Amino acid sequence: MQDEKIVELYWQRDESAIRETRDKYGAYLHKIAYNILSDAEDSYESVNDTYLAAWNSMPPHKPSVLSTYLGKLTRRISIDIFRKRNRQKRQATEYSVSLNELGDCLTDGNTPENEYEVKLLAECINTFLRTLSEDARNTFIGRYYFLDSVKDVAKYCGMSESKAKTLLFRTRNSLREYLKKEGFEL
Amino acid sequence: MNQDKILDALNLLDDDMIEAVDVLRIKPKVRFKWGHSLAVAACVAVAVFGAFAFWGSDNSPEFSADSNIEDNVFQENAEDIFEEEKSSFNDIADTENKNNSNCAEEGRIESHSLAWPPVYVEILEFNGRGLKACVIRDNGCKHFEENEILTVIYGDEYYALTTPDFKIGDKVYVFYWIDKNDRLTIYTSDIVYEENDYFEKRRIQNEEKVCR
Repeated sequence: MQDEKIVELYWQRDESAIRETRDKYGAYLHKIAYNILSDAEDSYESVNDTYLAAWNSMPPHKPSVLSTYLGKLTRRISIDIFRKRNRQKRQATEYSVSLNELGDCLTDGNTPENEYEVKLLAECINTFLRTLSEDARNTFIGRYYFLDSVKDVAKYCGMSESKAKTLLFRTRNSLREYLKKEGFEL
Repeated sequence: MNQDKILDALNLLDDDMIEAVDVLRIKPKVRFKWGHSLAVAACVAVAVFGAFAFWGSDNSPEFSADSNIEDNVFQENAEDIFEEEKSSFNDIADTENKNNSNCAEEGRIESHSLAWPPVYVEILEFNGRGLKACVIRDNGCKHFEENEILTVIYGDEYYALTTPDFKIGDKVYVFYWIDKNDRLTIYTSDIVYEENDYFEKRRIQNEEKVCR
């Protein structure tokens, strides 16, 4: 089914939208989640949360390319699960348990200032990526957005692994210089 | 600023850039292997030449009764074989020159050809990722000056590590490629004692790949 028709189902609050999404993008979303979480169960949970997030966000959103929209949701949810899992792992000592309790006094880091800074950073990175060659941009996005392995990135970008590693190294260095120039504290 | 913020910011990348990579993940780019194609062409050329040499014996000169036929054939064809080898070396150099022009478009300069000779250095120290060396002679490479200290980072195809150990104080040729904005850091696929060793290694490796 085409993306427009699936989005239409969401807007009509037709629950078959979830089934159509799962049939068309289930494997794609699972791969994104697994790249981050490396755990089948957590990936399954992440993808299910993605369907729920999609259901809750459409309407009002009406994405033209559903794969990218859902991919972003999955990525964000998976990273949140990963961070939560890591925090739980650190609960091994009384010290870390106490720290965790104190965390109740604080926000989860999603302050408006934080979100604004992330948005500014995103704009900066978008501008930076557009200055790169196609190969450099694609390897960067493949590695750090999709979180594919360097080997996979090299394969689908049509280059050797060593070239991909070198491109990534240079791009990271250039990004660091660019962010410094734009006034971000590193 | 930490990596969490950058990871979160990447979630706000423009959709068109993400879609471009999505397309690649479904339909990957095909990697054209210059070395592989040249090696195949060289093998075909040798086979065709061999066939002509074998069936063209009607035109061969008369041998003296005392001479060994095999020696005479070798004598006659030696010059042609030498020309064949020279042309395959030139093919490698041409390929590297083409790679250079591609690299120049991307802002890199690759020194794997006769147009860009390697730099001759003395090894000063080793570290986990590479070595530091002092330029003894620029060897006409034009990118480095004598007595300049270089940081060399090993590429993945670092064949020299599997051959005789290089020692501090050794004088070697370093084949490099550098970024036009970052001249002080150079990568190498090969460090060799003798300049011609590099081209010979590449030729052998290409032949091995074809025969596998």
